[in-house]
Amino acid sequence: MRKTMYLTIVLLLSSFLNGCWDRQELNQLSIVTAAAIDKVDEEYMLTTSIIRPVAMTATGGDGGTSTATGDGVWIALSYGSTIHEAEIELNRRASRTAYWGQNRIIVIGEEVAREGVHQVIDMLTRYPELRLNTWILVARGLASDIVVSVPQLEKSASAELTGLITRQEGWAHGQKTALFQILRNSNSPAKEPLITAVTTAEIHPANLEHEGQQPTPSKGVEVYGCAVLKEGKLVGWLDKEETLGAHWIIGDIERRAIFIDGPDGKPISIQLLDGESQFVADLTVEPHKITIFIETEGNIIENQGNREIETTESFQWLGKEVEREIQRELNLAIEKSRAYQSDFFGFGRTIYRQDPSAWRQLEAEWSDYLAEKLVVETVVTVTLRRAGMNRQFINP
Amino acid sequence: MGKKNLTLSRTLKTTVIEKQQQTDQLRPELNKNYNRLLQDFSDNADVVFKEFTIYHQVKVLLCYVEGISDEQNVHDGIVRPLVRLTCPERFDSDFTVTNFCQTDSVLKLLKNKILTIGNISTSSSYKKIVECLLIGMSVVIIDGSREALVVGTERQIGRPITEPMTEVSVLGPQEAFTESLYINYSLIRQRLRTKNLKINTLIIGVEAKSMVGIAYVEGIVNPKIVKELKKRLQRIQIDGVLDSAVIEEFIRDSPFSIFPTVRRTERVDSCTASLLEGRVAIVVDRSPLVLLAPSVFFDYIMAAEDYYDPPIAATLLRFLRLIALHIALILPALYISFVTYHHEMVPNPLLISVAIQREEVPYPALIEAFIMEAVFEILREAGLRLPRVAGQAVSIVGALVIGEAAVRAGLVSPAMVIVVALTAIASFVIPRYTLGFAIRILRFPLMLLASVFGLYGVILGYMAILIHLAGLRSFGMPYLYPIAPSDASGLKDSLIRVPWWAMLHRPAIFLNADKRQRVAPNQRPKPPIKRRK
Repeated sequence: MRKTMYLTIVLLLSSFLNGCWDRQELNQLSIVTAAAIDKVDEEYMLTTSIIRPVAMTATGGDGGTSTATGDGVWIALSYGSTIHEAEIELNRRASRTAYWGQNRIIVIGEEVAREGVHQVIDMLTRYPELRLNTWILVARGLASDIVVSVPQLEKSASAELTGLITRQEGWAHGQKTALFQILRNSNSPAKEPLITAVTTAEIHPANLEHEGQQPTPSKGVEVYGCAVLKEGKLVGWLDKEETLGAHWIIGDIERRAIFIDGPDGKPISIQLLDGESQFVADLTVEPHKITIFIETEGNIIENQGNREIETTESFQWLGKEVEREIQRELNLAIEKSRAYQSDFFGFGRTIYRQDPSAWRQLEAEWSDYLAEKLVVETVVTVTLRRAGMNRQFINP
Repeated sequence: MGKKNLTLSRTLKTTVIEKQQQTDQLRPELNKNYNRLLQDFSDNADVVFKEFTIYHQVKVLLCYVEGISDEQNVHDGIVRPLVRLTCPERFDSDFTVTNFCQTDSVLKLLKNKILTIGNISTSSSYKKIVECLLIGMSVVIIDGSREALVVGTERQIGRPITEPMTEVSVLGPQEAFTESLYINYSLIRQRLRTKNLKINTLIIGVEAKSMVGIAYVEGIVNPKIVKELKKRLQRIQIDGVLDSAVIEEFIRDSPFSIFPTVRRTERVDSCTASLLEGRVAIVVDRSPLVLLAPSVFFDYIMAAEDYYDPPIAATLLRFLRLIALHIALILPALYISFVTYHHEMVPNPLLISVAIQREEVPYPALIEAFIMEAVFEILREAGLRLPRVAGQAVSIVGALVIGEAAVRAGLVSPAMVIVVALTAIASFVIPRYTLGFAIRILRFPLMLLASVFGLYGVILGYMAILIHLAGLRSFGMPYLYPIAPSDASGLKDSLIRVPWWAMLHRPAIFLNADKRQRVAPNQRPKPPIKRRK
């Protein structure tokens, strides 16, 4: 009994010997929520967006805290020959240790991306604090501009960017890519990642005009499309339409709107839900053929014309029109894939899955094969189901 | 302290020796017995001696203690008949002069024909007589007889039966035990009208001679447990038993564990249910809390009401209690480990808001948590002990100091106040007060571990607690039954509470293997079967 008691006491006391080795009080940390990596004059420039709790505290009347005063975010710039050096540099000017565990966004500048995303990814994945589900973005131009942009709906640029990527993904504006997805792609054969490309945009506040003031546009962020990588290096961009086309092929569309001309030449908006795609590779023919089956269904959401379209015939006709429009988008995207020689759709992976030995023969010359020889066919099936909540044509 | 113990044990020893020296037998001479009693009860104002001479020549001594014996009973049942016998014209016809000297028949006569009280026994032991006197019985000693009559004239002193204070329930019986042993016995008897309900009374306490009763249902109970319990009770040597808690400390397993292994209840229905499950109840005179043994961990998260609520509600409430128990145990530790080690595990907006709140707090999270928890415990203790009129003052000061001033002074963060408040409320959800102690105390080592090792430490501490629990025994019964060792039928009334008609068996470990059936099978209520004609 006494022996166990002494043992317990000794064990308990020994727990204090280590001196709480990893203990980091919250008020000794600076929480990084977003970071941008650029290359300026052969040096990395790290832009970090750090939460400033001091600016947000206000010991006011109610004794609670309010987020009223001051700028809640500190933007810090630091330089270094490696990214880590730049991060260490940061500590020369910060009273608190940077904490990366809550970082959500890393924006990679165009310059850096052209040299190779993988050099950045390498550091990010080695670093223990960083999460693997950090969102990766590529900026058109300086990444720094994206991080310093003024958030419109959220408290910080980080939250704004996170929302842009995660919540708008269903509309197929960008491609949600996290650190671990890039890692996974880099380890699997024949698939290049697509990364959301963002650009700065001037966002005009609308409500100031009637007060007779000159509206001052603030610098916001806009999703441009996607960044196309080849062997880890940025080779080009997909613009809005090409991105839409790419998403049909990837098959992760949740909702889309497509605009076609009606029978009377007036535009009609059609809402599409749940685009699904399937790849079928035919390896018996030479050159190999890949057929992409795309299925979707939709509703009519807007009719600018004055003709009744709530009939089976016009539904079928409209469906064909939509199919044609989708075909056009698909071809744009596939052409870009060929032009950049970047297999971001994973055609190579389809072949690999179907016949690994066939893939091994192709692997060496795959870029050329993709650009010149591979036959890609698309089969689109659109089913229009409803004419919106209003079934009746409004006769003027 | 040590010196005191020494003197106590010395007095215990001397009393034992004295007893051995004196002869225990009553003398045939009344005077000698009388003198001995007078000597033993010298300086006692409440001991009454009354001498009568009945049938002209036989001297009789009546002796009782005022207050604890029922004067009305003594007067009607003993004094009045004896006074009548002092008058010769009231002699019974069958009493002849030849029998005068055969005092044994006087004894029989008194016992069977004269005294009008039911509970009369004879005793020749002086010690026994003194013991009986002290529990309120009256003693009649007859000159020339080696035996004395012991008449049951004890008075039931006690408050009326009230509602339970610590185990409140909305539904169900509202009777609680009182301080009187006999009332408690009768409360149990009224619910268990079976001859199999056995009630034994022991006298424990060298000086105080406290009465301790053991109740169990023969046939259901595991006889080994009763035997073990009696053995442990008989081992007790103490000057007096003030409350059942004293007994608990003497008979419990793992005396240093902070988890209770003997359950205390003031609810009559809980006690009865436990008896029917094959447990043993220990009723201590002058204590309103009845001990139930053996008891397992899950007894402490069950409320009596569970058995009166709908089974689904009761099941959910039990889960709720288990969650609350964990909140009360580890929430402050989790807060500390999240704030000092695992920042990445907190959702981003929450972390930022906690960071903002912690900005002006000068102390590490551990100190902050300790301050608040200590303040809360102080307030709670103050609230328990202070006179009721001062309660309001404490609650105002407490609310202001904790809720307002401490936050505004930057001593603690509002998040910490929430944590403490939640912990406090959760700790009141635990239905058994005795388990609450364990949770309250264990919270602090867990907080320390959290501040040193983070979440790893919390899990480590939690594991240590689990291991300790798994190793505990209550009268040989594993403490984590029916989870470990697992028992399917026992699980029906542990975390979940199945309907009564489905609770077919008693918990297996407490009882005789052949007496497991509690509810006859196939009793689920069904609509009547339609017969087609």
